[in-house]
Amino acid sequence: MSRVIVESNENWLRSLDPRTKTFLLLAFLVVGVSILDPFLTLGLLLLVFCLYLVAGIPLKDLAELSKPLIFAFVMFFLLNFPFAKPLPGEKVYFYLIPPRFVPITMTGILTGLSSALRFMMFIWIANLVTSITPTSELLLALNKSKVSPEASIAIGIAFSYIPELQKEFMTIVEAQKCRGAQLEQRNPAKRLIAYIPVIVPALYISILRGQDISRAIEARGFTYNPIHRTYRRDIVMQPADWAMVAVMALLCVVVLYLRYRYHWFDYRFILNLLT
Amino acid sequence: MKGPKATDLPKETLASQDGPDVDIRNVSYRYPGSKGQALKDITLRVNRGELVLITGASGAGKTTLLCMLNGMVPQSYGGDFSGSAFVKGYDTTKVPVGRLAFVSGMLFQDPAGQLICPTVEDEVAFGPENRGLPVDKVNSLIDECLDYVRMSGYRDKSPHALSGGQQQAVAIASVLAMEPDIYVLDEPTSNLDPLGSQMVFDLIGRVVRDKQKTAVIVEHKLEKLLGIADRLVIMADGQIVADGQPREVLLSLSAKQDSGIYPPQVTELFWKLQEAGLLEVTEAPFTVDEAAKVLSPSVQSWRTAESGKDSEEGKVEAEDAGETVVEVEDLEFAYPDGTKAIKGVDLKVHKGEFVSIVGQNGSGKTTLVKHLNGLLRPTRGTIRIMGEDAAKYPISVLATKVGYCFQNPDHQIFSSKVFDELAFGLKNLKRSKEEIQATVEMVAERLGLLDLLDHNPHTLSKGQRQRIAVAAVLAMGPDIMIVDEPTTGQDPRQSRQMMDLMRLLNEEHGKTIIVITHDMALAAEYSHRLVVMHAGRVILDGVPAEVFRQEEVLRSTNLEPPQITQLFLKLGIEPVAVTVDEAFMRLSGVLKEVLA
Repeated sequence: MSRVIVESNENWLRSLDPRTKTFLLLAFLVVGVSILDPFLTLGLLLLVFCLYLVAGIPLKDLAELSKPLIFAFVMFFLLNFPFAKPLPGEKVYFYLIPPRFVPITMTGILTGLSSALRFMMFIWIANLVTSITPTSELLLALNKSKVSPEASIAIGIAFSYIPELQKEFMTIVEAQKCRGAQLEQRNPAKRLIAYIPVIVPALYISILRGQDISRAIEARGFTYNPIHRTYRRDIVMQPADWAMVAVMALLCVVVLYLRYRYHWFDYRFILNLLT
Repeated sequence: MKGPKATDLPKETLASQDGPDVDIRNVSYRYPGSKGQALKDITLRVNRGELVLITGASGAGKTTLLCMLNGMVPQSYGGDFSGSAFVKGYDTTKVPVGRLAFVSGMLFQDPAGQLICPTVEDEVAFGPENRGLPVDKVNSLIDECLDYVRMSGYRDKSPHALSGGQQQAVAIASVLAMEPDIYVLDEPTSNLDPLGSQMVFDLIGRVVRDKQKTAVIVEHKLEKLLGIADRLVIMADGQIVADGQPREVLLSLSAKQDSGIYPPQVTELFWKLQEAGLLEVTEAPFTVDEAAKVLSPSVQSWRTAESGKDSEEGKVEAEDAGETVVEVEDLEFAYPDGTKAIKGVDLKVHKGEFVSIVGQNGSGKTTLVKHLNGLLRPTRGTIRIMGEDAAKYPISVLATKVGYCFQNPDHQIFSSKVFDELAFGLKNLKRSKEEIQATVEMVAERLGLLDLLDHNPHTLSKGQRQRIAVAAVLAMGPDIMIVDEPTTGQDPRQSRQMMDLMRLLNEEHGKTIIVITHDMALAAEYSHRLVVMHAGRVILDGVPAEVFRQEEVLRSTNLEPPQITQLFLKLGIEPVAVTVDEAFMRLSGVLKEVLA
């Protein structure tokens, strides 16, 4: 069996084993959840940004991904204030709802920023890892992880069909717009209702597509002997993979230790260091 | 090698390897929950190396018959099955589908619906991997099969990023890689444009010729396959109604138009001439050359007699234009990635016209018409709808002037009642309840849907759903109707029903119709005007007869005039005919003169 062939023009990040990439994603999630300080979270976000540069993903794509996240970022920031308790004696800058509801304090600002930045960081890293991991590699990783061939093929097909289903979805949106449907509603409840004429045909078409796929894989002999099917390619952990896993594992251990042993990286960690 | 060669399969399922490749005897089949039988007492034998072409109207049982060849019917679908069905001696009711897949390789209608892997090479490898072949063998099959279908340069691409023709070529390669003895192809070109169809027909021809395999093909486009088919089987209502050498079968059918079979245009013309007693033929022609050979002597003697007469009738003039309802001026459109889809298009459509826009996939047809109702906005240039700048209005307002019907009715149908589906647009326009009720009923009556208003649209036939989709757009009261590829994926009868509906709206209700289609024969038959697009530009625009004269220009864009027009151009008869009926009228006159 041959290892996944990596084209010579590909960089080291893309050429990592899919299991390493998955570990990278998990490590960022663990570290991201453990660090509450917004400045450090911003640092993690910058680190992910650097990984985008290393992976050679056009920044235009990252901007496209981030645009719709801005609304969510603002919501994450604002929704934290009602729950962020001011520290005893902490200065209240002003109240969001007069006369004395939802105080705006430094703690509130820091927790809001932290949540919003973390949300952004999770989306960025998840997108990065899925962008640099071809579905075929993901399938191999699942197979190596002893996931059943039926499940791994189903997951692989589902990933392959995302662009196709997106295309179908856009056609449905256009078809309903042609009948005067007003899909751009500000109110989330109204927006959901407005999208029913899109969601119903999308589900119907997805079911039909699912039937087509099941017929197609059956006609291609998938049920012949799934357990003993051949996997043309194999994946083998290389030194670079082990190095990356070691670095990320160490990072996780150190962060978790400092966080839970010494209570580092709370919301005011950097602020307290500076003041 | 773990592949299911004859010896791998259970002995009790093996009849005889020496018999016909396909041996179906007295098979009747009913799908679970269905009242009627999909197959009724079918008997069919196909010998090794034969290419059998099966045709018939939708619902005739063709696909069910094919699914029986790889065991999906009855094994996967269930239902009531009687009779016996063997392929290469294996009982298709007993040998598992996963094993039969390597005996009868099946290719489906919709290329996108059968490509399941992330890359082209993964797609081709899928079957051999399932068979458990060694990696080296799988890799050599990938190389060999992709090379065979000339898709080696695309091995790392996503199959979904390819054109329809290329996708079907990859699907064919993936079936080839399974090394089946029998190729079972279910309408492999029905979703493709003319270029893609030609590519697939060429491939099928090569596979049958080079590999000397057995092939069973269901197809409506008989014109391209009759030349290579050994047998033609016609199905109707679950039964085989004709089976034999293609010319004999077509001759025996004669002009029975209600059979749902649409033979090549020249064959149909000969049927008509023969029925009128103007021609005696023992073999029906399939091709333009064959037809021209038979007609040439008569046309030659007629032309000698006619040579002195002034031939003014040869000139076809466009009808008086009338009021302009659509005016496109210097339109340019580029997608966000910079791809220019429309490059300086000027176009006028007049009130009451029936215009067909033709061209290959990617020529810019759909991009152009999406500007007419505001789905797309120009990068440069202007669009005027009934004299008003379309840029000033949102889609919801333009929808009351320009209706747009999508190719697949299932992209828009979402209600549980036909009435609600028809009322959706009117509700969006904030019309009163009374007005909605009156308009829906009026439109439903016009389109023959009055009795179905309380039905769930999802339980109706595709033809009825398409009619509902048109009615739902029509209810909004547009004067201009755009119909995007109403004939793609349809059988000839369904295509005609849709085009008849458009003609009704055009002639009886004064609607201006713009149809996007790949079907040159239908475009010629129904349209006042043809607009040919290529690479984002309008390259021909005129009455069908005049457009079809530009054979070279059309061929440069991989389009060709309908067979009947090609015959007239070859015979040099003016004016050229664009439909079988026109051709019959003209030629019966010629032949009568010659006979006199």
